[in-house]
Amino acid sequence: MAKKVVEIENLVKRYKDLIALDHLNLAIEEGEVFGLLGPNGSGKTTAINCILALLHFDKGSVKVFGEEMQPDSYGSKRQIGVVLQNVAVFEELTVQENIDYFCGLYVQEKQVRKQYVEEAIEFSGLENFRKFYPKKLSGGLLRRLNIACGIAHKPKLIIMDEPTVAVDPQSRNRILEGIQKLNRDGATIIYTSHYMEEVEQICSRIAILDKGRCVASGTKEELKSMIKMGEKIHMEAEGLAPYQIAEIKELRHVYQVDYRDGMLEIRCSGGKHNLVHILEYFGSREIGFGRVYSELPTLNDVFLEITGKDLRDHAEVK
Amino acid sequence: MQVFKAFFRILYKNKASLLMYIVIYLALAVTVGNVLEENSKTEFSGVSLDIGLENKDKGSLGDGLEEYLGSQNQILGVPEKKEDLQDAMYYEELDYVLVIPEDFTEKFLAGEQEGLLEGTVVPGSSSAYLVEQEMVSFLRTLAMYLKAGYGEREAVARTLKDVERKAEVQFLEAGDSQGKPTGFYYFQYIPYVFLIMMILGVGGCMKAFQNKDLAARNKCSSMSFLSQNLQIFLGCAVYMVIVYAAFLGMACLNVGDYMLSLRGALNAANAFVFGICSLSVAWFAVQFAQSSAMLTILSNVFGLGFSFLGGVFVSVDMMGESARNMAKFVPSYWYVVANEEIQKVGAFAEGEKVYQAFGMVLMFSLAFFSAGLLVNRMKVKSK
Amino acid sequence: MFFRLYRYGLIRSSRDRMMIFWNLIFPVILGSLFHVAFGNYTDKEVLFHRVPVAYVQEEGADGNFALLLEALETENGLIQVQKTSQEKAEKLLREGEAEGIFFQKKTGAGEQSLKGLSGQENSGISLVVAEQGINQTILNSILEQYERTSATFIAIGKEHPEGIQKAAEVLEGEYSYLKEGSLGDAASNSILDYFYSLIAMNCLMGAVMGLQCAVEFKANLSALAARRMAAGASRFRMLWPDLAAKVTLQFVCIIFSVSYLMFALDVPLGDQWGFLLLTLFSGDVLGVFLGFFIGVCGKMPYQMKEALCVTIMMVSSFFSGLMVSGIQRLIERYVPVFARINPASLITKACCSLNIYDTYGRYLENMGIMLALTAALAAGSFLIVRRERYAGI
Repeated sequence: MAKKVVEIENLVKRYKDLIALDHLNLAIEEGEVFGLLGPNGSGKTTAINCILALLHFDKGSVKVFGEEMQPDSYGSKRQIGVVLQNVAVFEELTVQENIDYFCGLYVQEKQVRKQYVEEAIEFSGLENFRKFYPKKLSGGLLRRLNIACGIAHKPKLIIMDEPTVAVDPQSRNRILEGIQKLNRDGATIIYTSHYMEEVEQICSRIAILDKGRCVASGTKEELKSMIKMGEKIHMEAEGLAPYQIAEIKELRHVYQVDYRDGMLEIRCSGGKHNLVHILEYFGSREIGFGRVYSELPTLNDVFLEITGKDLRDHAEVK
Repeated sequence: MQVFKAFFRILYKNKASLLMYIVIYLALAVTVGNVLEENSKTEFSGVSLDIGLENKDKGSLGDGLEEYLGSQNQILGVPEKKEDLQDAMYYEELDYVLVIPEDFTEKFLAGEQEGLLEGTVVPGSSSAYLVEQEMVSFLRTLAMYLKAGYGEREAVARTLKDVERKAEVQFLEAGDSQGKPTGFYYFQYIPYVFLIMMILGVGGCMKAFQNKDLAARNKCSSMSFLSQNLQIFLGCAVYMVIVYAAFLGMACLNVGDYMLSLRGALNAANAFVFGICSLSVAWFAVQFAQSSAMLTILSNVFGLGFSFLGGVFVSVDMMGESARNMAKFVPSYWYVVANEEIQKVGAFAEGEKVYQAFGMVLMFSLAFFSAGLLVNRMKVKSK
Repeated sequence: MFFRLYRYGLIRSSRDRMMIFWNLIFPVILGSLFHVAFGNYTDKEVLFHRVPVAYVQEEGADGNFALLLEALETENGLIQVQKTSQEKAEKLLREGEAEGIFFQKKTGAGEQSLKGLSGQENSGISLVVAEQGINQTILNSILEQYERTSATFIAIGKEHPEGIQKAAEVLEGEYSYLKEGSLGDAASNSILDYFYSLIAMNCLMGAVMGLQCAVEFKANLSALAARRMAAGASRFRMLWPDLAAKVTLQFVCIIFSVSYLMFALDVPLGDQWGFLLLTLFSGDVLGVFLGFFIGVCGKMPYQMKEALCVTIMMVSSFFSGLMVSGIQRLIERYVPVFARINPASLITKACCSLNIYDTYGRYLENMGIMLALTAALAAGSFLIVRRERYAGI
């Protein structure tokens, strides 16, 4: 069994009346890319701030590298790289100076630091912007700088809180590839995001938070098997009568049918030959149909099914 | 009226710092008003000072001098140790220290005049030099009597009588004699606080509206550009009136009787005119503000600069010729002129000079407004 | 690590142009303004301009006063006399063209015992003014001096006419009866107070710098601080270099503006360089810690804290005499406790004592209080932020 890098036990954090974290339990193992998912206000950022000992919490314990995390646990902190949600760099320093500044908070040896800074610049593709001030950088570059400042000192644990918000696909790909490379090089990564594809692409294990609790966790496959849906089938079909839809719903494994604008969406809960069954039904009733395609469940489906489809308000507590 | 409403919502967010200025101003205006009023009352009648006097003179002239100084001031002993003496002066227990040496009478009778006494003015005391003037006057007269052939005692007696003479001073208008009322001082410092509050308040809102993205967004809206600007303008005007009303209200609480008089009304009008001017200065100043820090700086540069140049804090009478000429190019100077002239006015019809000063302030308003417009145009073009 | 962070602190602060402007240009502007306004501050009691006065003489009135006025106009350049009719004179006064009217009635040779309003023997001259001010005080003292001297002459003329020539000789000489005071060295005057006060304000401007330090230090004030706090180094090891950098930069600014005052404007701020620098430095540190303290305590938004810093700075400077000269003496007299702890007053008084007294008792007292204040602010700040975690970010 791999070493546990972060252990959170029964963590409770209240903001006055609002319970931000409700007996949260998490364990993150060495070498993982751990995805922390959850709607707005579910407590992701609060959890991260508690891990970093920035926030005071009401109950529970946070252990990093096996040690209780305190504001002055500098030994542990030195092994952690942080990329916070908001871009946190000095406006008055250039790209290179910013990276050097933050790297210098961890690494004392000048030669080593110089090399690390170079590598971070290369890693984030900022070679052509060394002398630029943050103000002059585009959104994607700024995010990359933000990341470079967090990882330059080659930490063992990297915590990234929505590092790809408001970034174009090119920059995002570059960032994601970079994260995977960091992981290959031995870093454990905690990653939060709203973007399911991202998490699906890079995370080896995922936890879904909702209302301050961990409602599900496991690998992608484990998560997908947790939900009822095994397959989603779309069909173009004109003029279906309600009784026909009711009949489709009676087919094996089918548990939900939506019909809108000539588009039929059928959700099936496992079973291997769902599409065949449905096509047989259509054939036997001589109903015409157009394109047909089948999808396996995505993380998005998992997420929506677990956290519900209600719209989350944006009242994230600051 | 969406823009107008937004203007006040932004303003409301800055309420704390704006309120702070009001409170501070109130405290300052009231204390300074009272303190200076007391001071000015003593201007013609002479002040009574605490004088440390050590009379070592063996003759009788020293006693005469002591008697003379004692008639108007408190005579106190001089601490023996130099350190104690310095402390006494430092903590304002003494205003002036005079030592009359042993051989004073002897030397004076022999006709010597230079350096007979040891006097020390307490640093920073503005009124202690009056004592020196009085002493010089006394000693001169005494010397005249002695030279003319009077005896010591006789000469001292005569001198004491002569130096008591006062000049006869009359005031042109009856009722002008009692210095300036507290109301005068209450209004004296208005330019400083108006300028600061206008630049901070209006600046804070304008900056929000001039934000590049927001400005672009507003331009895309269906509301006409003119209408938006008019609403912002209206917002500024209403803000000015609110600030003005607040100060007027405080004036009424402080010096209510005065405010009901003709002069009070003129002062109120003066403040209003300057409020308009502050608004246009603010409009001008805001063109140079890129950040809230810059706004603070600008408000102080304009507030303090105009106040000093215009003679708000220090009367222009105290200033050199070039400064007096420069002052005329600053609106606050005309505000101060009006404020002073108002104290001489007895009826509305007599206020010609006051109205002229109002006119000048309004001219400056127009000038700053146009200058602001010009800078604004230039900025837009250069984009 | 200290020096590297210190270097970065300096780089960052010096690239903040707003800050530089505020710290460098503002005192220079104000100092120049004072310079223009007060001009010559080395001479005491200089009258900067002639006082315009109207003179109305009844026919047949004694001519001595007219002679005196003429002498004052041509030789001393003190006043500017316009001889005119009564109506015209009053018009001049109303319009502000004249600051006062000398009004001389005819007094016959035998009528010298004529009683004036105040019951004293009257020369028949009165001063008519429209307001009270410095100019009126000057006119008043001219007339008063004349009254006294003429009374003396009349008395001597009556009783010792033979001595009148000798008495007149006394008037011709210019004597200074007073020896230079032995108490201190340099002469001080109230105009210098404005400049000391300005320097004090410049020191206190460090408050905004200290505030910035706090913002970059407390995780609940900025994302930047959160990141720094999560870093693998003690927060205080990051704070000290930052504070040191701010103090340094502020000190450079102060030196610059003080040099400007001393060398460009020739303000005589004294020649005790070492002690003056020490005072400026202590004031600077006090200012920075004041801002830092404001930054770390309380939950006000940044804007509010900044406004508070500026306000404290302005109010403190006001009570040290930045705007109204002499206010410091009033405070010292009526509210001595406040005068003792007002930062700007402390700096002003320390500079002042250096310039005036030849002993260091008062100087050391002020410096001591300044040091104590700084220590209190620093201790307060560190008690607040020590091992701090936040309830919310």
